[in-house]
Amino acid sequence: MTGVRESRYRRALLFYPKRWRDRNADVVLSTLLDVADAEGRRSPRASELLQLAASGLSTRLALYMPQAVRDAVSAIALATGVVLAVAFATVQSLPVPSPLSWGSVRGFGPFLSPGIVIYALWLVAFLLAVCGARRVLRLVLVVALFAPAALWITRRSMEGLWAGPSLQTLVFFTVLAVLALLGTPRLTWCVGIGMLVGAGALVIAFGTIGAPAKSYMDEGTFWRLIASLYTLSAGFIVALIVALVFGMARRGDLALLLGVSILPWAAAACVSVVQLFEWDGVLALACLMAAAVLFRVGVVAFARASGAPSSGANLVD
Amino acid sequence: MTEMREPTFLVLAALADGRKHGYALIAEAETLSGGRVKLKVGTLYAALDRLQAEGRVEAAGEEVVDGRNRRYYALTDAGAGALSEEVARMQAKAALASARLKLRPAGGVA
Repeated sequence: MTGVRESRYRRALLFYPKRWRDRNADVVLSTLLDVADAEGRRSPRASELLQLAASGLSTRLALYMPQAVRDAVSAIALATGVVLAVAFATVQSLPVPSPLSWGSVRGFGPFLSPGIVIYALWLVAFLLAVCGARRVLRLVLVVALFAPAALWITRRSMEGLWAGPSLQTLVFFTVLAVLALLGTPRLTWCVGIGMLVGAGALVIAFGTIGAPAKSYMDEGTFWRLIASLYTLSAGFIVALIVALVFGMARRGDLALLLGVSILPWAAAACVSVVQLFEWDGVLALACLMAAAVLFRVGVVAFARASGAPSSGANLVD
Repeated sequence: MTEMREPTFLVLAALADGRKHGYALIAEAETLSGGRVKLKVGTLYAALDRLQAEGRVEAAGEEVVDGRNRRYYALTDAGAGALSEEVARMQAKAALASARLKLRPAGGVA
């Protein structure tokens, strides 16, 4: 029985990287067996195995992305999500032609679309981060991770009823939630200033587009006109150049931070490409993804070569 | 200074009176928290990895007991300093709360 118990623990430890296992597996296994013996258990608890799996995956991730970078990525993701959530929620709340007059389209309570559910989750996440309620924050971010998929499924089953949110928005907020969950978001002055600048820029951008046309704008307008495929492409080229500069300056941590932080934008751009060009878009996307993998490998190589810090440094201070 | 997380605090506090191995740390953390916190093995070793990388904890020998490998961990000077700072911060908070309680009107708020 002990042999079976030990082999089940050893299997769970396979989630850890080999280098870590070579150094620690026997010691950790002994502790697991000590705990099981003290509790009089002859087999591992399911929660114990799950926790080992999560901890092992987290250790694997830490090999490629140090904790300081993960915390910075998380802070940037949270800030980006909050700024866009505020902007999209505001745009939804502006006086617009009644959605009820658009034939089959109907509102979501007082709002134009159920996108408000996602935006509200991000605003709650922001308040929790400010209060330092880390556990509840993670819980809300997990809900925010699955909410877009739930909305998408609901929307498909109710075709034509809701004016959004667009697929770009859903994919964007999903990837953003994954990144926010990678670390502990610390909202520093630097992040706060970035949020103010971002919110200001968005208000100006929406105003510039919407005021002359005096027409209805939804969050889809953002992806069509502000973060269009062309704007995003230009942004990716700039990001690539900046990441290369960081790499050459032996700041692999910053290159990695930039490379990961643009992923939600890249995901939204991928959706736009597929929507615009259909099967040609899928082919183009495959090429883009191959390029992105090469870019990612390059960034990781830079990060390793320039010795990204393993902990301690706060990259967004 | 950022507030120290509870598992980190308990691990450092458990090591304050001398080196300990993994299971002894889990047992000591449970005692220190009055039975409230039972550290998971994965959480413990993640915290130890991080604390070692930060120079607050160091490995302090290994031995095999009843066929099981035991690695001992000890507090470094930096770890003792961080624990002292956290204790001082907690004491200051407790003193503030205690002072406020003394200002509370007898019989509570009407």
